[in-house]
Formats: sequence, structure tokens, C-alpha cells
Amino acid sequence: MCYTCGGFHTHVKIYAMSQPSDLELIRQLQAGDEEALLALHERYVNLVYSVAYRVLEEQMAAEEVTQDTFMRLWHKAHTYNPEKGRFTVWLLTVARRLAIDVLRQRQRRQPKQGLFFMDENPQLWDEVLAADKSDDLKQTLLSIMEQLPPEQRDAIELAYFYGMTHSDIAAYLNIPLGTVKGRIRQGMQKLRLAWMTELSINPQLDK
Amino acid sequence: MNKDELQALIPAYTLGALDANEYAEFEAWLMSDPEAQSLVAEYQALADSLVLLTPARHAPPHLGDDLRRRLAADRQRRTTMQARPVMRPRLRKRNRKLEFVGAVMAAVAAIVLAIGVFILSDDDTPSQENTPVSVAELSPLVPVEMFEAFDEDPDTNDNSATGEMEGLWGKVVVTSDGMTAMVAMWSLPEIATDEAFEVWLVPEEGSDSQMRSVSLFVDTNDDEPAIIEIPLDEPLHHYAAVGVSIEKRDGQHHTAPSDDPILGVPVPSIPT
Repeated sequence: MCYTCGGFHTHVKIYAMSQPSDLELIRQLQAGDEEALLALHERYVNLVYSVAYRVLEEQMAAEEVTQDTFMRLWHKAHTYNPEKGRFTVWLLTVARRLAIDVLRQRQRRQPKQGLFFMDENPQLWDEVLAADKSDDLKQTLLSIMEQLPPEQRDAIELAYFYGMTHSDIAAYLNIPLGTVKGRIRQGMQKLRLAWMTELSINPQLDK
Repeated sequence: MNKDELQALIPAYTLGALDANEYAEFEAWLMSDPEAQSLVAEYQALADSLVLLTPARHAPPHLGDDLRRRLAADRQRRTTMQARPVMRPRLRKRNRKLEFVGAVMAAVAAIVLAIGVFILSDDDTPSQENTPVSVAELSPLVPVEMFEAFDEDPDTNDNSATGEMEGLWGKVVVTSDGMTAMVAMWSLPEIATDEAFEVWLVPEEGSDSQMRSVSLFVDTNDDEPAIIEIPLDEPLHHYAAVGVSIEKRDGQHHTAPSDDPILGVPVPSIPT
């Protein structure tokens, strides 16, 4: 059923065989083709904006980071190495880091937590992940994240999406620094273990 | 910190959760430990993937047109840069130290003339005068000026070198007593695995002081700024600039840079 209108159809855009792949567009981008950048922008703008908004929670700033991310892609496309990971993850990581840089220059707002499992527009992901042949990657990550104790998940979320350091998190949650370090370390170790297990079952997740 | 303590910080490092004091020590250790580098890469791949757990939103529709405008502006800027006269190549001097100092100071002069120094001070908080607050910083080093200042060498004065340095900039943040300082650098160029960046304190021109190597590092993360603490035994403002060069990665501080600097950041003046 459609997430957007409730009808029995889908708004998911299926990329036709004639649609250039991300890699083809990146190659064109590296050759200085502005249309390739605009095509990638059309494909990814919602997700890049989503990441920027997730960090900054403010429309104007999120728009700015979104556009900076694509201009960075324009100038630094040569630094993307397909052998090291998916383009989607690479691009969105650039967006997240740019957003955190902006966030660190501002007065911190009250972080919104527990958003790992809240998505009102999953079809926006479906479009991109289907084209990337990584439909089950997000589900796998959600599933292993769900296995974490909430306090470990929260510490990871504060660091990851709000750029908080150990000390920032300790001050924000009003708990000892050592406790924060322990939560992050143990949480990430569990995630890694679960991730490695999933990879052993489905090696395609890492491609 | 011992090795076990540093190793325990790997997950937090990949999330960007290390505090500044942990970060410097961790990065120094990481540089020397290939096993740790491999573990960091594993954790980093996982951490980066977590970005997929972002609730999706629709971006405003005007962003497509806005990007077209930005591309047009960028095209215009590049055209203007290409239209500028190429600087006359100079002969390579034998004294690499003087050449380095000269290049850093030329860059500093060009940048200060071009964009000025922006002083950020908080006069309302005198009681915090020695806390590590940003008392002065330079606005981003404009790439055009950087290339004009540094690409005088006939060996490097070509388009590919300019392209690789695009976006490179840095800034120095120093406490008001001048005794604690950090240099942050964005978009450092890619270097070979047997190379490292070396940070130098550059004395005033004509000064008896020697240029001093204060830090060696590799930039493992292309998207984060490299932030290096500058160890000081005298106030930073006794020096004119902080320079960064690319050197052979042999774990040793060198007595002088082997080549031109890739980045020069003037030491910010401290308001009295």
C-alpha cells in the first residue's frame, strides 16, 4: 500500500534500465558534466536534506548543508572510491559531517532522540536503496540497532547525529563520563558483532 | 593512556565522540598501529552506514534551481581564475627553509590583504581569559590566494596541482595567554602511504628563531577537519605563522621542510 496516499499502488520510482547508475553519473561528474550532478541531486536531494535536517532540525540550515554537500560532491567526486563503500552512504556521511560542523558553531538545541525507528516517508529511502540494490541494508541495521539497550542506543545517537563528545554526553545526560564511555563502547561492540554476523549470512550487505 | 585504553576508544572515535584531549593522543597512536587502523576501518564502515537510519523528509522543491545557480556562479569563478595572469615562475632556491618561510609569509600577506583578519573575542568574560576559547581566527584561506602564493614553483605550477588543493583551508585557534593552540585544516590533499603532514611554527622573517616542527600526522578522514594541538613552550604569538608541509613518513620530526608548504595560517593577533 502506498505510504503517501494510502492507495493500493506505489509512488516508488523504479529506475528504468536507461537510467544511468550512480557510478556512471559519478564518472560523468568527474569529467565535469554538470548535468550528472543535477541528476544525482534529483536522486538524492531528499535524503541529503533529511540527514541535514536530522542533525540541525532547522529548514534553512538544512537546505544550506544540502547544497554544500552537492557542491562538495562537484569538487571532490574524485575522492569517492567505490571499492570502499556505497555511494549512498558516502554522500550521506558527507552531509552528516557538514551538518555537525554547522551544529558545533551554533548553540545546541535540545536533541531529539529515539528517531532511529521513526520514519514517515520510508518510500524516499526505497527509491534510492532499490536502485542501489541494497534494499535490505537499512532493515538489517534497524534490526541490529533494535537489539541494543536503549541507554547504549541513546549515547550512540547523541554522538552520531549531534556531534556530542564523551564529555558533552555526560553533561547532557548528567551521568559520569566513564558510564558514557562504557555505553558507547559496549553499544558499538554489540553492533559490530551483530553486523559481522549478518555479513557472514549475507555478504552482499557490504557491497 | 596505554594501548588497551586507546583501543577501547576506537568505537567512539568512529562516531566522532572523542574529546579534544583524547583525540590528539588517539590519532598519534593510530598513526603508528596498523592493526588499530584496520579495526577503525571496520568500525567506520559500520558507523557510516548508520546514516541510513535517518527519518526521510521531502526537500524543498526550489533546491534544484538553487543548485543550478550555484553551479553557474562556480563556473564564473573558475573562468575568472583562469583569466588571471599566470605568476612568473621563480628559480628554485637551494635554501629550503628560507623558501618555506617566504612562501608561508607570502601566503599570509596575500590572505591578510585579500580578506583581512577577523577577531572574535568575548570581552564580557574576562574571568575565562585563559580557557581555550577562540580569541582570534582567520577566515577561510581563499584558495585563489593560496595557489597564487604557493604555486610559484615551476614544478607545481600546473592545473592538476591546483585542482588537488581546491578547498584547502585552515585556521588557528589560540587561548588568550597564547599557550594553548590548535590548528584545524580542511580538505587536505591526498598523500601517499609513505608520506605524512608535518606542522611547523614559522618565526617572523629576519628573526633569529628557528622554524620548528611541532606535529606529524596523517589525515585518515577526508570529510572531517584534521585538528592538531600545537605543543607550545612559549606563546604562539612569538611566531608569525603555522605552516604545513608533506614529508616522508618516517616517524621523525624533521629539521626543515623538504618542499614548499601546502598551507600557511598566520598566527592570530590577540586583542589586548
